[in-house]
This record gives sequence, C-alpha cells and structure tokens, in this order.
Amino acid sequence: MNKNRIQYTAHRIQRKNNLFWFLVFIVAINYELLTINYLYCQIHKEQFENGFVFIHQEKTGVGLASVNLFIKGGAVNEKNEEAGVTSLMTQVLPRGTINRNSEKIAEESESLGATISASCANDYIEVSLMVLSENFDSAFEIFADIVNNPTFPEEEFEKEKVKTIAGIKSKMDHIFEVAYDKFNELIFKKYPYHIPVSGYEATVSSLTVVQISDIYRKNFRPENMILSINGDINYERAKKIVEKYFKNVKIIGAEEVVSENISYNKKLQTKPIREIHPSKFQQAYIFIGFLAPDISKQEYAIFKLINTIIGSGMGSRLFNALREESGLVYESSSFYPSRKIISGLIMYAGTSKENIDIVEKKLNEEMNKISEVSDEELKNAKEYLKGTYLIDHRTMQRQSWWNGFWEVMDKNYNYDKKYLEEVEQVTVSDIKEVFKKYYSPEKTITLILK
Amino acid sequence: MILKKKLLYVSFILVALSFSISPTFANPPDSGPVRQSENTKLKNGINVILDLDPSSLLTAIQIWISVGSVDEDETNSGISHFIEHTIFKGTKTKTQKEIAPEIEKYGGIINAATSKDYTFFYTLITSSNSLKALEILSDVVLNPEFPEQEVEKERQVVIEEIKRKDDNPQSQLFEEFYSQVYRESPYASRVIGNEDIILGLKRVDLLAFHNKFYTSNNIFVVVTGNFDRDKVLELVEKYFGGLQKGKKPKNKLLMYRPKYKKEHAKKIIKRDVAQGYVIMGFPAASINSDEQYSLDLASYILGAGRACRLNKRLVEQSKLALSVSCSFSSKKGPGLFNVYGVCDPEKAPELSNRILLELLDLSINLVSEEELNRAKTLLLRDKLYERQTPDGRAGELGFYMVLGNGAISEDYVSKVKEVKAKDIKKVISKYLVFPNMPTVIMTP
Repeated sequence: MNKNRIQYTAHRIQRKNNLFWFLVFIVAINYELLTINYLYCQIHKEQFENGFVFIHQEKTGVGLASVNLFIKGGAVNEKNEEAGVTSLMTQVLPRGTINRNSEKIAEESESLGATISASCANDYIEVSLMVLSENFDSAFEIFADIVNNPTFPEEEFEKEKVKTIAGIKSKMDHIFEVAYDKFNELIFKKYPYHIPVSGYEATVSSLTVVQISDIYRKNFRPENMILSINGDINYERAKKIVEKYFKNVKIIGAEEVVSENISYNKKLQTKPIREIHPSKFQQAYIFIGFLAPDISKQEYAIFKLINTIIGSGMGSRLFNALREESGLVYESSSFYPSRKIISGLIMYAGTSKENIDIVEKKLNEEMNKISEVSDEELKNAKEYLKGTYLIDHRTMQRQSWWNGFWEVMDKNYNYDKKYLEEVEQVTVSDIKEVFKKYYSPEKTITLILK
Repeated sequence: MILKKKLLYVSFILVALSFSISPTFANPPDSGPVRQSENTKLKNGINVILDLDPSSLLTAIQIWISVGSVDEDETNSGISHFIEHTIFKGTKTKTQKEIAPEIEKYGGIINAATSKDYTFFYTLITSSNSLKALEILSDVVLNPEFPEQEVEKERQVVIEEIKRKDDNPQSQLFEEFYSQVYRESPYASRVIGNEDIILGLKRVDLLAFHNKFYTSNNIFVVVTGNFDRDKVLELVEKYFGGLQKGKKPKNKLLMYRPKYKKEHAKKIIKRDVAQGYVIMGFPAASINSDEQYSLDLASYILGAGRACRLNKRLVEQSKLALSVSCSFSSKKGPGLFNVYGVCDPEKAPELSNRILLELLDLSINLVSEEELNRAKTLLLRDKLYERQTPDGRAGELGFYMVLGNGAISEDYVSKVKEVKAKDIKKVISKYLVFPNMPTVIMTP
C-alpha cells in the first residue's frame, strides 16, 4: 500500500515537474522573443532619391545619441603605391571645412559634449558622432559640415601624415601587431587585404593632399552612404535634420569609382606555407589559418560558430588545450573577420620561445579536428555566441554601429536579427561539410615570430 | 488530456502575453530607466549594492574584494593576482569546467581583474540566467579549492603573462613610473609580481592569503541591471551570510607620501623602441577627499579631447608631441595624477619640460570658464556613457565602495557641477611636485 502510494506520489511529482519544465521552456522562449523584440523595435529605414540611406532607432532615457555614417569603399580599393591613402584622408577629414578650421571644430563640438571621429576599415569608411542628446542638432550640423564640406588644409594634412607615420613605427613596438601584419601579408597575399589599413611608412610618406582629396571625392557619394542613428532622439526630429543636410547633397566634383576588374589568382594552394621571422621580443607569436568564406556566402554563420567553438571564451578549445590543460600560453584565441572579398579562419597564441614547437603542434591538432563537433558542443557554442552578441548590443553606440555595418556590407540592417536565426539553424553536419570544403592541411598558412 | 488542454491554454496565454507586453518592455519610460538603488549590509558586515533597471536585458554581478598588491610584501608580491587566476580552477563542489565554461553555456561572460587596491570578479549575463550566475560566481570567490596540479599549470600561465607584459614598452614605462612616484609606499610594487616570487608560491600560501583577506568586512557584492530583487537578496544572504568577519590589519603605509629629491626625479630608460614615451605626475588626493572632482576635471582640462590644453599647445601648436593624455586615478591612498605623451625620441626632454610648465601654469593661473565648462560637459557625458550599461554602473558602484567612499557614485554629477575655476588652481597647487616631479622617459 505504501509502495503504491509512493509510486502515485512520485508520478504526480513527475507530472508536476513536467508542467514546471514546460512552463520554464515557454517562459524561456518568451524571454527570447522579448529580447529580440527589444533589440529590433522601432527601426526605420529610408533611402533618399540621391541614394543616401538613413536608419533610425530610438532609445529613450539614455541622454545620449550616436551617429555612424558608413561609406562603401575603404582600404580595399587602394592601389599598392597609395597604401594608407584612405586612412590618412579620414584623419584629415575633421580638420577643416569651408565653415570651420580644425580648432573651431574641436572647440565647438566638445563644448556640446560631442566627439566626432573618422576611420577607415578594409571594406568601408566610417565617420561617427557621439553627443549628449540635448545638443544633438548643433552637433549634427558640425558633423554634416565635416562630411560634406571638408577642405583638407595642407598644414593639417602634414600634421596628420607625421602622426600616421609615427603610428606605423609604433606598431613595431607591439608583438601582436607585428605578427598580425606579417601574417596578413601571407594569408591574403593574392588579395587587397594583405596591406595594412594605415599603409606603409614609404607609401604614406609619398602621399599628397591632392591624393587624399581625390579619394574623398571618389568615395563620399550619397549612393555610397549609410547613416545610422540610435539614441535619445525621436524619428521625426532625426529625419528632419538628416534630410536637411543629406537629402539633396551631391559632392561637388564627385566621380564614380571605376572598379578595376581585379581578377584574383585563385589557384589553389597545394602545400602548406610556413614562415619564421626573427623579432626583438621576449615572447614568440604563432599564427595559423586558412582562407574562409566572405560575408555574402551562406557559410558565413557556420564559420562564425566554428570560430566560437575553437577560440571564443574560456570554454573554447584553444583556451582549454593550450592554457587550462597545459599552461603553455596566457593568450590564445581565434578570429574570423567579416570581409567582403575573402576572409580567413585564424588561430594564434603567444608563448615562450622554448614552447614554440609544442604550441604549433597543438594548434595544428586543433585545426585538424575542427569538424569533430558534438551536438552538445554546438549547442553551447550557439548559446555563447548569441549571449555575447546580445552583450555587444547593450549600448546604443553598438546598436547604431551594427545597423549600419550590415548595410555597408551589403546585407540589410535586419540581418542583425536574421544572423541569429541562421546561427540557430546550423547543424553538426553543416560544420563537417563546410570544413571539408574550405580546409585541408595543404591550405594552411603559418607565421612564427620569434 | 485535461493536462494537455491546460498546458496549451497556459502556453497560449504566455505567448499572447509576451506579444502584448513587448512594446511596453521594448520602449522604456521617457523619463529614463526607472532605477531602484539600495545599499544593504548583511549581519556579518558584507555590503550588498543593488541597482535595479527593469528596462535592461542583462544582469551584471560583480564581487569586489578589498585586497590588492598594496596588501602584499616582498615575500608574496603578485599573490592577489595569482589568486585571481587560480580561483577559477575549482571549488569544493565544482571543477574548472563547471565554472567559466558553465557561465558561457548560458551565454554569459565571466572574468576577473586585480589592481593595487582591489580584486574584482564579474559576470554579465541575460537576466533569465542571473541567479545561476550568482551561485557560480559566489562559490568561486568564497570556496576555491586551489587544486595543487591546477596551481602548477596556472603558475606557467602567469609567467607567460609577465613575459607578455614585459614585452610591452608602455607597460614597463608605467611600472617604472609607479615605482618613481610612490617609492617606499606599497603602491610602488607591481600587481603581477615577478617570476621568482610566483615560482615560490604554494597552495598553502594561496589558502592562507584567501582566508585572511576574503572576509566579510572586505567583500562588496554589486548586482545591477534587471533581476529579481528579493531572490537575489535571499541568495546573497545564503551564500555570503555565513562568512566570518576577519581582521584586516591597517596598512599604515598606504597614506605615505615620499619626499622628492632632484637626483630621484627623472629616470631615463633606454630600450629598442620606435618612439619616445614620457610620463610624469604626482600623488594627489585620496578617495576620502572631495578634491576628487576637481582633480578629474583638471585632467579633462589638460588632456581630454582635441580642444584640451595639452593637445592644443603641445601637439597642434608646438608639434612637440604626437599625442598626449592626462588622467587622475583614485586610490585608497594618494591618487595618481599623471600626463603621458608620445613623441619623436629627440623631443622627449623638451616635451617633459613643457608638460611641467603646463602643470605649473594650472597651479598659478585660473582656467577660463569656457575651458571649465567644456571639461564638465565631456566628463558628465562620459559618466552617462558609463552608466548606460549594467556592467558600467556596477563598475562605478563597486569601485567607489571598495575604495571606501561609496557616496561618490551618488554625488558625482552634482559635485562636478559645483567645481569652480579656483578649485582647480587650488588642488593642483596643493599637490604639484615642483620642480622635482617624478618623470620617466623611454627612448631608443
């Protein structure tokens, strides 16, 4: 009797447990829906007749606003002999307009609590503004003046050139940057990404103000521009001011970039490439990688997950194999940059010189067994990737950046949400399949700096 | 069958509810995030600081311990940092794999950092997983096992970290500078320690140091973002409530201010570097002084943005420096006010002289209202930026609490607004070390 009773009780508990876990599951699903709804609420996108794209997302209560203007192009379009010209142009851009000199720009914007800066990446140029939302209109006027009316004063150009060359020299004092630049030269040898965005000392030294002015005119065309605003500014106010400065803008003298029909030497690499370079540092650095799909490929999300499994976080394979299990490194990680033409899956580690052989061996072992993924490992990687993606979206600056970034990379801003859906759909067999397609030991590139 | 119907009904209601409430949740109130802040103390003295922001999707949990390199001596230099590493290697009930990798399975991040005055452990995670994260982080901090074998492996990791740090010229510059400024004070020693001492530290040393300093009067638990307030408080009480009070010896040397003689003022390091690096400064107010606000503003007047004094005069006009910055770092003891510049190696001595004159100028002449207002606007904007995220907010609350003046977080904005030009002049003239200002120059 007691036994039956016990069994009955147990059964009821089981049913209660089922109900409990079902409810937990439902709440979890709803939480995720809430999370996604929160991130993607109230996004407006408009394209003016001149091709200019404007994206807006409101975030109330923060007291700040962030503006990110993305311009298609970037270092990727540079000629070898002009390496660094786009980056230098972005440094001189906020140093003078037809209405303001460099000092006035700095004084005016900073008194409003605004910071305006410009930079160059491989596939795009970016001009950004961060400001107290109460001063948004005045700061945006300065921002638009910089974008639309720069004068590239000769004196400012010379100053920025000196600083850029100094920056290039300073990189030589940092082991990671030295190793990374050398590795890029190897892995992207046949592609424009092999050139550092800031250029080389020799190429930057020879640049003239005419060249940077020319690069500006070629790139700053309304149809190349995506402006993303996020923050404590409502849509009507943002739209009005963006229309005022960008709806009818045509850059005077703008000329179309004639893309040279670059044909990349896609001849397959048939044997591994391995180079060793001497250095002045105490530690050694090892980079190992292979070419991986660009952002437009359907394998993009799969590779992002592969990268998470290998080298993201303290639960990753590299952290486990090289640090937790063997204490060989302080730093070991991997990355898979989002690029338009081609990318790479790249692993690296910093270690003592006497450990180079064993660390290289372990990196290669990890590389070879990337596709041996269990369902549980994949599930964990998805959760980590989604969680850190949400964490990365926690400021309005980053949300603004992501909206514009997907657009400039020829995805739609709503790919920010779709990306997570693609990640969710990846299976173990997808990983095996794409790994087989892109990787073999013969395709690896290794750089050792010691 | 009935159960199934009930479940379907419940799930339908929940799904419908989620869609109906999402617009409200999606758009936080116009008046800004509704925050509820509270600061409570458990019976054993542990401070718990909660800052609830229902509009956040995340929870930041930070545990700050009032122990850092200032609490070490020459026999165990680097032990606080070594513990920060080895603490993640397992607890009485968890293996290493059940700590950081477990948090990551829930989509969160977990890590730690050690400084001169404190060590802090943190996690940032979606709110739905906050209680689990609190359980893991608390267990890590309170019940580390320091397994012998794991300590041995981590020792090598820390030695690699030391080598990596030594490879970085700026890192060497700053460490030499701390030693130059603080001399016999415990602030002079390096947080990471040195290879010889790390090689000699044993498990028993780690346990003893942990027992001595990870006590209730040294621990501050900060939870911010979105979370279940009652449940969090209940769990904090459960995990931390039984911790014994400890006796932390008063560190009398913390407030020590060295006398600076001419022969010790300047140090020149020759190293294979591409640029010249200059750093100089002086010890200033401690955390308990209201001069914090004026010192923060002085650092912005001198070194924040392109329109700041040092950039205008030393980079743009005289072209002595390639870049220059200024900061004030608050400490339990005398905080550090410093200027850092990068330049052509040949210009390093002249740059150092000009920085000294600029600091002297700030101690003699009043800054303009325009300069002061620009600095206030930028400083308060940066404060808003920091407070935008749960981890930024937790960092601010925990930092000032662990240093011993939690009221600063609350008063910061109003106190900064109150600062006048004469306050800047007064505070710089009070602390400026002239002419023997501690200076370190690194050139090829």
